[in-house]
Amino acid sequence: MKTGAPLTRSLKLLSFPTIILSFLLIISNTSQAFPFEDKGPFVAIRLLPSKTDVKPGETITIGIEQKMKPEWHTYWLNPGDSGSVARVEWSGVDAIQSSPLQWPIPHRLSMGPLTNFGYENETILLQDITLPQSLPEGPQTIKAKVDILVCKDICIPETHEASFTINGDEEPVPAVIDMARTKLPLDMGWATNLSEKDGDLILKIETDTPNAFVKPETIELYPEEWGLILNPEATRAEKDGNTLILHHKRGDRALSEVPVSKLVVTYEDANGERKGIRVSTLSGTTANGPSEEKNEVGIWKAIIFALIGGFILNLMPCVFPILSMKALSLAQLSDKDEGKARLHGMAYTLGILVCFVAIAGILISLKAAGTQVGWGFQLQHPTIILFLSYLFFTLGLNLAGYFEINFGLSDVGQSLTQRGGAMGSFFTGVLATLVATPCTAPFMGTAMGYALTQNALLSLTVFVALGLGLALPYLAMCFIPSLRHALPKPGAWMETLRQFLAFPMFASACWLLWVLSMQVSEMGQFIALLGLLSIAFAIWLLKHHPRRITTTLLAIAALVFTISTFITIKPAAPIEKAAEAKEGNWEDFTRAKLESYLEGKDPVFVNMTAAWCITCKVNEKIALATPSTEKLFADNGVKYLKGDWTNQNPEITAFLEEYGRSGVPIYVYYAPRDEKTGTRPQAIVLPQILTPTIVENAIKQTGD
Amino acid sequence: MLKSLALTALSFFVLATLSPVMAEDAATPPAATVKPEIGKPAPEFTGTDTDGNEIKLSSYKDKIVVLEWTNPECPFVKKHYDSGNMQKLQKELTATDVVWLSINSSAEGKQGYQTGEEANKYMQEKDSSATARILDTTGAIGNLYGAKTTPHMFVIDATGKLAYEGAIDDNDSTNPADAEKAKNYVREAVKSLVLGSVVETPQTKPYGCAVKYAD
Repeated sequence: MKTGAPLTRSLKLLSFPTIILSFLLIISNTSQAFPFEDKGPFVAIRLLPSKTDVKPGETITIGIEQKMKPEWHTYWLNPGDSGSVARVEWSGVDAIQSSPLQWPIPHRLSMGPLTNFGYENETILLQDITLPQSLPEGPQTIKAKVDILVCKDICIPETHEASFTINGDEEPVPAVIDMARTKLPLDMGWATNLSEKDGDLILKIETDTPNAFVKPETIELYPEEWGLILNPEATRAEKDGNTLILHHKRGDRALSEVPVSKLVVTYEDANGERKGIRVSTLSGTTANGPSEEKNEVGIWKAIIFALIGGFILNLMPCVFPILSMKALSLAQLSDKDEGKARLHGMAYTLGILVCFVAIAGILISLKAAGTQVGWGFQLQHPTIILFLSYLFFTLGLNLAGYFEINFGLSDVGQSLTQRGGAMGSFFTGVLATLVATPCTAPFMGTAMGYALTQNALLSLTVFVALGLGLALPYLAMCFIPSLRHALPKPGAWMETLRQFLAFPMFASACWLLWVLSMQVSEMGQFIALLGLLSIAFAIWLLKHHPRRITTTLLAIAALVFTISTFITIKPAAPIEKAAEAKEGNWEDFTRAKLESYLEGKDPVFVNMTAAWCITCKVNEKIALATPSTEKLFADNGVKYLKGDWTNQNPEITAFLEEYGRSGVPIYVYYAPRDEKTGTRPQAIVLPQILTPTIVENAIKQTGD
Repeated sequence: MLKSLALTALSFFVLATLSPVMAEDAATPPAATVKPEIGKPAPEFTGTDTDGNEIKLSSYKDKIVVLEWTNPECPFVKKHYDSGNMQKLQKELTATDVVWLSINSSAEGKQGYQTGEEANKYMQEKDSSATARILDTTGAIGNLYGAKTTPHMFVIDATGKLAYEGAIDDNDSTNPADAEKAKNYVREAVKSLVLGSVVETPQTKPYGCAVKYAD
């Protein structure tokens, strides 16, 4: 080897370790951290004001623009399986107030077996900020500190400081803000119901623009709350008339933890554009546990309740006089006339059933036509109330002996044995039903609630059961001789009783007029009273001189006047409730108010009532309007919302439906938000007959 | 007559025995959609630790077990390790005979993937007191438990039932300073179990980076 040899050798010696070393260096660099193609930041944040000439106390909208590097994304309000939500903190001027962030329609971002919700490329969040009254003059720099997580397959948390100047030289960009607003989901306020069945979350939305959803296969569900759905699964949607029904596999968070939640539903419209709506819902669970269907009353329970309710109706002051008189007339039948008794019983029952089926038919077809109906719906119309008050008044006059037209009420003696008697019984049945309509007995509410939310066949069945219940006492007496024998023997006392029974009838008429007074103006009330007067006058005329032409004409005139009252009373606007001095610890129910209170942490008590609902009035007197309950509410900071369903109110009807009812009353208590978990316990539905103890227990057991 | 009767009886018998089998097949949902439930037995698993040993959940019968899904590169995990919060919790709990298993479900080639040697080195550097560190590179255990984020915490009580599942604490920021001040759900759950009382918050939304499963 020459002189080069030691060099070559040392080179060789050196080269080997060098190679190893560099190899190691390369390895260590690559295995240490995922090499970035370039460095961050991976999102650029800019603030875009809608207005820059701002006065103290004014509110302006700011767009928080995010522009991400390709393939990087940021998150929505509910980030999905992983990730976190951006946070914005405002400063620069003391006491800036900001509204919650408004989020554009999100996208689904799949990451293997996990799914997130967020935005790629770019998006603009909107936020309203209110400058304080103490805003100093001159240009001010408003700053925002934005903490945001931006991810591709790995995540980088970034903090950005962005700012803009008001009352200086900076130009606002209202056009950009308007564009950004169109990307927000629209708050439709549609009635929405959330429930679960067979491992699916079921969302039912009553839309009033079903034609927007022409491509149900493009519908996607984005709940704002975590854990409701299994994010990687797909939404299955279908349209049923006006109702949009969405199915999505359930997540692992109990529905009862989330009594109120908002959900965004995205879809492709007819032009292929991606749009979104936002709905708010009360989950369909009640105190009876997480029921699969909120109408946990089965058909059999509804039928039994209807039977019992119908039976109890006989005791109501409206029906009782009719039943008594009819029943007493049976006492005159000898046992020979068994067949006749049965005939009358069946005719009466038939009259009732025919009438009930007719009413059911009307309610069902109204519901099918999309009108919000519930039991008690008939009492929301002044014309019906007027008709019923005229009816009660006339019947009262008849019972009092003012005139003697045979309504089948006082079949004393022969009429029962006459052939026409059966027809008379039929019409008595019809009459009994008519006078029963303003009344609601206990148990009826649940039965009616079930009936009106089911299909036509089931509805009719429950109504028929109600009719049977109503007919039962008289029917039983017609078929069971021993019951008839228990009736007191007829005598002069019957006439006194008959006259006495006029008073419950008159009382009912008075009550109906009181209800009417809440639905029409003072003039309307006066007209109604005049209508009653003209009825009495017409009857007197026909009674005394039926053959004279003048009296006949006068009578007709009076009757025409009575009929005209139906028309003259109608256009009268309902009294402005707001003018009423409201004393009390409650606020008028609106959906918006309920939702905003439920978002807070105070307990909320909802009472749905109506002027014509006697049960409601009794409950209020005994259990709600008492000093002890008022104190209980005040001590626990309960927000008391009262909904008045005397007149039509679709918001209240929708609320009733969500709890499986179609009539009032309903009492729902939402316990306060738990400090630690940040969620509210299940809502409690109180029974229809309240006592102060029931209310107290509901509040004490869950408040703490 | 008898023959047809016997035949019918036989076919019924066959159907009866087969139907649970068929129902079973129909009823077994894909693993990804069935997650362990609070109050129900936690699924058994077998994993390999960083030294190549087999670790079975059932071998820790009668002990409280904490499962910590982790990824050393994830900013949320770093928040808890850089602040020393995670190590403090591990030390505190393992001192009282609680078993702590750190599980890394990052697939090969994904962020956070480590070999056994690297993991041991990391564990030592960070002063982790975990009872064992399981390398779940196939993601089998992660899928079994429905681990979505790092960190994602599970607490299994001494009878083998799942007592807590979700986030490690109530502050989902990436700021290490927040780790100490936040309410730690794992600590609370273990405390309740030890005292024999009901776990107040058995389930929360987990926060963190997505677990880096294979595609």
